[in-house]
Amino acid sequence: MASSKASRLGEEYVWRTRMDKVNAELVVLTYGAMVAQLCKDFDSDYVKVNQQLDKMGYNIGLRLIEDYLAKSNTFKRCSNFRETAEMIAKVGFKIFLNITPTITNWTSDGKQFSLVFDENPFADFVELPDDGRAQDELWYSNILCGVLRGALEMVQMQVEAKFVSDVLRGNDTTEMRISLIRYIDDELPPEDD
Amino acid sequence: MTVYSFYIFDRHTECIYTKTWLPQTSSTSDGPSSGGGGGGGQQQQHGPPGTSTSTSTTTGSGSGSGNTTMQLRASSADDAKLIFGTVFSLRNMVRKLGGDDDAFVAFRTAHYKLHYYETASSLRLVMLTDTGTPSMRNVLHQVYINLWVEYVVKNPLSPVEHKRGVGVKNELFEMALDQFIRGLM
Amino acid sequence: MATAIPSIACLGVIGRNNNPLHTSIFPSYDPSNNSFRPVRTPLQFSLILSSTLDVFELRSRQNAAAGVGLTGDFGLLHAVDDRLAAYGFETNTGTRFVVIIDMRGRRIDGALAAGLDGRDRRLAGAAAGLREGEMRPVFKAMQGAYIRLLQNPFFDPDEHSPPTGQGGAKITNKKFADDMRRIGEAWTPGITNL
Repeated sequence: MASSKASRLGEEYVWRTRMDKVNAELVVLTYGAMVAQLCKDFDSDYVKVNQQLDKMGYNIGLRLIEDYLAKSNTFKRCSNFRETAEMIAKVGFKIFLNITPTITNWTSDGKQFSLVFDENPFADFVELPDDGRAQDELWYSNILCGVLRGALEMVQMQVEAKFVSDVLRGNDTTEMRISLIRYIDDELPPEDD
Repeated sequence: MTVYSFYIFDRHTECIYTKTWLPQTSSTSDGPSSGGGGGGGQQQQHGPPGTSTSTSTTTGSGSGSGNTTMQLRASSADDAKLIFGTVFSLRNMVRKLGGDDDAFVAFRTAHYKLHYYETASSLRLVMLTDTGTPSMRNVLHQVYINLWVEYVVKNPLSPVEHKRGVGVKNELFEMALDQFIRGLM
Repeated sequence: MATAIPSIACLGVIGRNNNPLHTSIFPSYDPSNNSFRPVRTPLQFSLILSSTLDVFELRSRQNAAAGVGLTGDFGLLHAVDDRLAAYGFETNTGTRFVVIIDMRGRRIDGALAAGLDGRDRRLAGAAAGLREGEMRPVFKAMQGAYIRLLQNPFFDPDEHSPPTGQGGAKITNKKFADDMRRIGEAWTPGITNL
């Protein structure tokens, strides 16, 4: 039930608003050029590249959440993490990337789930470098993990997000694992003297 | 309706933006029957609370406006802290009583009405208006999506955290906000 | 009786620094022992590809002067002998695609051909020679593959045709090589889409 509401919200946004559009290839090539440059700058230290992408995404997420809240017209907070997942997949990704990843593999405590990307607009045309390491070390779309981490932190959820498989590496699916660590409490005003 | 002042608090509870509008001379028609501080005459006006620094200069605009109570105010920084303390407590109280879905929207005194709007990202917008103003929740929401997000969040040169209001007081935001609010009055 | 029809003997991609980027060689039918093998050695193909460079330059100057040839399709560059002919295409960025056709690279059974439908009869009839624009689908497919190659962010064009104007590394991408192979094997006269 919640899921249908979320997907309706996402669809509705796309139809209702004159959403600014950007040429998909421009995005792909821009992101690709950035990742390739990072690989060069860090001398193909892919662990560092992953970190850097995550950091960039985090900074994007901190801002993007405000845009998301403004665009999605959601007044209410999600009441649980499952609802959050629905909103991420069906509203957030719909608005910003026009894709709807599938939510699967919930743990029984409802604190971990996977997003499976049937399509990944960032990874069109991409072939990972053939140096024998990139296939095992580089998470090409790692910026997305950072974005989710940053955005959710702003709405008081500390999460860990990481890719566990990627079609670019030859896996069957592209899957991101998201785990809720804790809800962040409201900050209290400093004590006055 | 009259808007007196407007505050933005970030998620670290810091006041990152304050703006006051000089009170317009209220006409008899829209000045409600509040029994404000003893000014005397039939044309009665009460200035906005918490605008001591600016109201002190505005006494010329309204003839014989007796806002003596206002002069007792301390600096506007203290006002902001007071306001935050108030709305924060009220919001928590509302949630305790009415459940997490309940939201604190406004409260009203004899002299002014305080409107409150909080985003999911814990940005709090507070607006002080005269008592006759209907709910400004929508207005604050508009300020958030059309002004805050567009001119502050999407400004790549403004930092993510607005310590001491850095990045908020940019020209676009200030002008648009002023225009928007004046358009309402 | 059997009829010989043309096939692709070699596909070459040449960078803007006149450097070889890629060469694919395809076997032709050899009636003497009824098998498939290339009609020339790799070195000989390489020389043929090199010899087209002068023609490219000459044509492009002529075309610029005459204001024609804007599509980049240079048509027949030169006929090497009665079997091999080289066709060329140049992109605006100076990358050149060369197709070397073996006019008798495939053989179809004449008796069989008589019973075939329209397209294949046309195919058999094409043995006499190639029509104008016959190479266009090949160039289009090659350019498509080349663009897909360039769209990969990890492909560095400067590495393959440095702006210094000197040399450049060959293309090692496997997908590109596979694409070239597919194009070279799939093409037959009259085909419109590769």
